[in-house]
Amino acid sequence: MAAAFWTRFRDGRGIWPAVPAFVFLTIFFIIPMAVLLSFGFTEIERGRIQDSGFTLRYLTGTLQDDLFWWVWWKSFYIGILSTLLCFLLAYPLAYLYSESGRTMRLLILVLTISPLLTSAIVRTYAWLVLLGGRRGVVNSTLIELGVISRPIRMLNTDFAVIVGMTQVHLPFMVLPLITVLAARDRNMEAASLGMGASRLATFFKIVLPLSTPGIVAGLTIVFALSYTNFIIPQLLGGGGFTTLAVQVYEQIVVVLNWSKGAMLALLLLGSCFVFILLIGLAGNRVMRWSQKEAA
Amino acid sequence: MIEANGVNKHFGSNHVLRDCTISVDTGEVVTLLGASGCGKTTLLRCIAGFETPDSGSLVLANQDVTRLPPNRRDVGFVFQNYALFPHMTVAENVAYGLKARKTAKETIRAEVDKVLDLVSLTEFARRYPKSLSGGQQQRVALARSLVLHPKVLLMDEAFNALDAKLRGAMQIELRKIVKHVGITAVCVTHDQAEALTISDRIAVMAEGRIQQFAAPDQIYDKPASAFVADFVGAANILPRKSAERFKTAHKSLNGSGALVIRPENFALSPSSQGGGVKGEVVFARLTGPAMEYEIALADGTILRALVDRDRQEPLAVGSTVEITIRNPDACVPLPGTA
Repeated sequence: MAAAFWTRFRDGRGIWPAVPAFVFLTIFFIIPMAVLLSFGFTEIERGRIQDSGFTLRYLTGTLQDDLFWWVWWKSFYIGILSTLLCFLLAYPLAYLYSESGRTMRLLILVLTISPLLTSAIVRTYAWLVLLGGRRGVVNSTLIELGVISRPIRMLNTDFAVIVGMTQVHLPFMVLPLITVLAARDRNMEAASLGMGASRLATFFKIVLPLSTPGIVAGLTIVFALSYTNFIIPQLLGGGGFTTLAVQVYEQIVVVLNWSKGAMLALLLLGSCFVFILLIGLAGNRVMRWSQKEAA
Repeated sequence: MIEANGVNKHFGSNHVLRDCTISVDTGEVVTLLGASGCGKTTLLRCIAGFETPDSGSLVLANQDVTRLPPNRRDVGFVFQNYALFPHMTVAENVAYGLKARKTAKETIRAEVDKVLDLVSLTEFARRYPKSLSGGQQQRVALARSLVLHPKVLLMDEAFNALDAKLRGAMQIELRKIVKHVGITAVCVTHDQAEALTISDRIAVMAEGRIQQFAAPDQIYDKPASAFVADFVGAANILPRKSAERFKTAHKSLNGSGALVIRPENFALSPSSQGGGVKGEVVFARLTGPAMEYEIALADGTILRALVDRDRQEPLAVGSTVEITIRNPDACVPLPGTA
């Protein structure tokens, strides 16, 4: 028994290969995270834990607060919209990649990945320049072209936040889609066309459904990133703009109400998991053909 | 039904098809047989429309289709990996082409039921391809093509994905189904046994050329070249010198070139009285109903002989034998070869 245990340990079988990462994450991520989130169930005053013990005051208080639900809705719809926008922009690009020759593929890949080499905050500041007031690049161009006579208010709107998020998160949608589309079996399409289906029908009935794994991966990553991002809403949404993630930041860093901040963080994290789970379940439903049936 | 006239095809500097001319009659099953890289798949893809010939013409059912795209040629194509749609059930896969043609729902259902019955897959209609065996998947691919009643059925190495035992059974099954439907079919394979099983006629290909186009028994009994003789079935190709020894023993053997003798056409006698050619058994192996021997002649030529076990007790390695030819008429002279 002990010998078998030692052999498995030495040969790196079973769960052993995962142990170093697990230990590291437990000490430096899971425990601190749990401690932080537990603040939501106790009274914290300016960084000092009061001896008031366990309380559900912050949970019930937050859930009964109309403002919380309004902020939640804002986070949700900004997240969903920018995720869908990412998908609509990324899919044609990934498809183009899969149909291209070597040079074009390299070009698309470089253009997709290179923004990731710059900090997301820097890129968000760039949007300030592009969208900002009368001298912003977009407005001044439109005015010069005579399309509009007075600058449109773009900065500090939902539009600016969604555009910024979409640009920053686009690579995370493109990459998984490229992976599935480039590896797909072209004989499927040849078979479909050969049986008399049009190119458009072939795309919607064969190519699109078979790229579900990439779509699910992209939607999951981009939604999680958009839903929890607090920098882009703060910079591009302006002072009055708030989402759940922004609220967490403000409660903990500005207001120093750690209990409320921890509770909001817990609700943000929990609801994010729920949405990711829903996306995954929907994907599984579409992909039910891939599960082996009982013979 | 299918006429390919002088078809040429290049891939870059690679001359893949050289003046391929072939004519397939209605209801006939023809196999393009050859080693990989001989151009057989390219010729099939030209007939299907996935490739366009550089020169030459293709006629399907009296219509010149040389420049037509695949979907306007009325051909069914069974891919090597079947290309079944994994996200659709068997019935949905089979119905796909009919739906694309906007066929009425009741007609689709009736047609799908009929063709699934034909390939004995009725009880698998609601299953997804992934849960089917290789042989069943192949029958789905076949049904998916047949349901559209194409003029021509094309199959690219359709048995490759199956294990050896199943392959033989499926070849017989396929031949029965195709003959039952009466469709014209062109298959591609590198497996000579498969070609012999499923075809009415075989086109043996090498280096982009059609070497011989004839019925299976003709290909086997009267190979047009050493290549064909060697590729289809086992063959002893005796160079002129060794052939001369047998010609003295068998007066009816004539012709000046090399001689093709099938292994089963040798008789081996352990005694030395018959006046045959002398040789020594250097290897013996049991193939089941027969013994296969390698026999070295005095000049070093190695012959392969196949002797039914009910005709003769097994011979030991090292024993000396006299070789005679059982049926000299079945030997094929290859004039003009050494």
